[in-house]
Amino acid sequence: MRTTKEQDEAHQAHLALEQPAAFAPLYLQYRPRVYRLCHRAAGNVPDAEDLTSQVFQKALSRLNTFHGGSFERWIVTIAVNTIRDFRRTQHWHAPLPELRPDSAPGPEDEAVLSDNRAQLHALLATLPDDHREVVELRLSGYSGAEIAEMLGRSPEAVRKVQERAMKQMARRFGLGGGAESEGRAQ
Amino acid sequence: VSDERDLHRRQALDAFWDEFGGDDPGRPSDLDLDPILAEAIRRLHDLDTQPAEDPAFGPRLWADMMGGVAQAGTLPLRPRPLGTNGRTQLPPRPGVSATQPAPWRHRSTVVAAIAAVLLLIGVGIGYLAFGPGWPGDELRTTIPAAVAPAATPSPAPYTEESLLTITLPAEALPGGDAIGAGLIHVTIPVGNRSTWVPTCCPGPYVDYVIVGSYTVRADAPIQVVRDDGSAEDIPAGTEVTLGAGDALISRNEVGIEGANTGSGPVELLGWLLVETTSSFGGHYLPGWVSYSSDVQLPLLLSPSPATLHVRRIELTGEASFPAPADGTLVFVVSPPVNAAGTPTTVSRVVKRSDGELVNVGKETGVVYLVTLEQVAPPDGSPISGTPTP
Repeated sequence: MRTTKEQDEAHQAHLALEQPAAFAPLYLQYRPRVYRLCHRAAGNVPDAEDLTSQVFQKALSRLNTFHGGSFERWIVTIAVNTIRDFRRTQHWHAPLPELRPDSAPGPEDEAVLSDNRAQLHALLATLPDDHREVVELRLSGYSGAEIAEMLGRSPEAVRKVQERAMKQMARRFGLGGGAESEGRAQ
Repeated sequence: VSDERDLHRRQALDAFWDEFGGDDPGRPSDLDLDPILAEAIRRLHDLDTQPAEDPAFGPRLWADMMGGVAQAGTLPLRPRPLGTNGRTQLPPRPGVSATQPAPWRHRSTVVAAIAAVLLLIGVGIGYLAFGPGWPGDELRTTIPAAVAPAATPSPAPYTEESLLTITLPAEALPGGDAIGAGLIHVTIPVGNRSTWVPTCCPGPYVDYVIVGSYTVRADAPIQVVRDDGSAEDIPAGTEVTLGAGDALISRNEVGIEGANTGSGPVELLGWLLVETTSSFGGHYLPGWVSYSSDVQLPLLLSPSPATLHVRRIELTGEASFPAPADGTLVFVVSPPVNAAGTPTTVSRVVKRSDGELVNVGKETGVVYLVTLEQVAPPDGSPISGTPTP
């Protein structure tokens, strides 16, 4: 059964099919969240803006494929797929000394490592793409059940991924229990 | 029993993360919760300090989206002089000036941001005021006034230099549903000699030499299109040297040894279109340096020939270069120096989602533009260069 919010959003999306300006409330509501998700994935402002732009351009052009339910989950799913494509293109890029998180203007030294965003981006980059995807959605505040729905996976599959990801993160943080945690999972 | 314990542990971690960030700091009393993993979650969240958006971004994107919607189906399709190649300076197209199509791009950043904010407020709140809008929205009674200032025309917003046009026959194009394409700007240091060893991913590969002396030897026959438009077939294993304005037409699955045999760095553009795999890391030779690339995938191709067009575009500050016809793939890279010869790795020329190029800076910017346009099969000719008059 649809909630009132879902009904309103479905109504708004339906109106926007005929009158694009009707997309404004949905855009205002969800752009900041999508932007943060994109920034977390990209690690820099230009790519985050480009990804966000792609997400909303796609959403506006594909509104006819939104058939109700949670608009947020729908647009975040678009964002997840857009980020996947972005990551695939990143595999093609030569490693560049100039490609650094936007907050790190100097060489990659202690100052960079002390920057929270740079450190988070570097940590997430060590995860396999599917693990990273789940963690980024978790950091965006989505529940395990919501992530499972967005990714089209079972809740248990998501739980396994996030457990493996956190074991890896624990080792990266030097929590000392990585091996122990790994052992406990056997 | 072990499986059941694992399941409980995963569920406990899941529940902890679900509740994390709220008033409840988690359930440390849950005996199944691994405290180390819970601590890892806490630390990750502590590091997650995402920055606020640039205040101008939201309004700018909205204006872009609405501009794109308004123009859909009404953008003039550019006549493309595909048969005329060479290093001909083409004048700006009539009617294309800094006045089109979105005024915010052609004014100063501050004015652009203000105009975009007004536009967003005008459209968004205006819609909420007059449309069905949000139930109970307090903004219904507010009607903002948005005034878009007129743009100032520019006499010569860009110059366009056509560098190379080649036709790729349908059989040269990759198949499958995992097709990718990419353009890179490469600098090859003096004395560099390296080898491309293909491991996968068949498809056409093109090098265009911007400056320098680049010598190659391939494992299979290749073609060279000279600066004057003449084409040469190069047998396998034969060394050939390319200079500025020359192009190499090969395949990604062909092994090539390349060397900078000149006294200065080689600058070249590399473009490829391949059936890709998840492990393909691009067509880079050891020692190459690239500051700018444009990779696109997945792509859909029709089984028809395609025309590849390489151009150098020089855009004055805040000017734009029009989008190509629908369905044309657009790739853009920037050289590592700006028009004044100053080294830079930041291009102010950006590509919109429809392929329009916009110089968002005030200084003149230079980019290399490669378009791939699929055309009806004219004669099934093999890959060839188009003669220059």
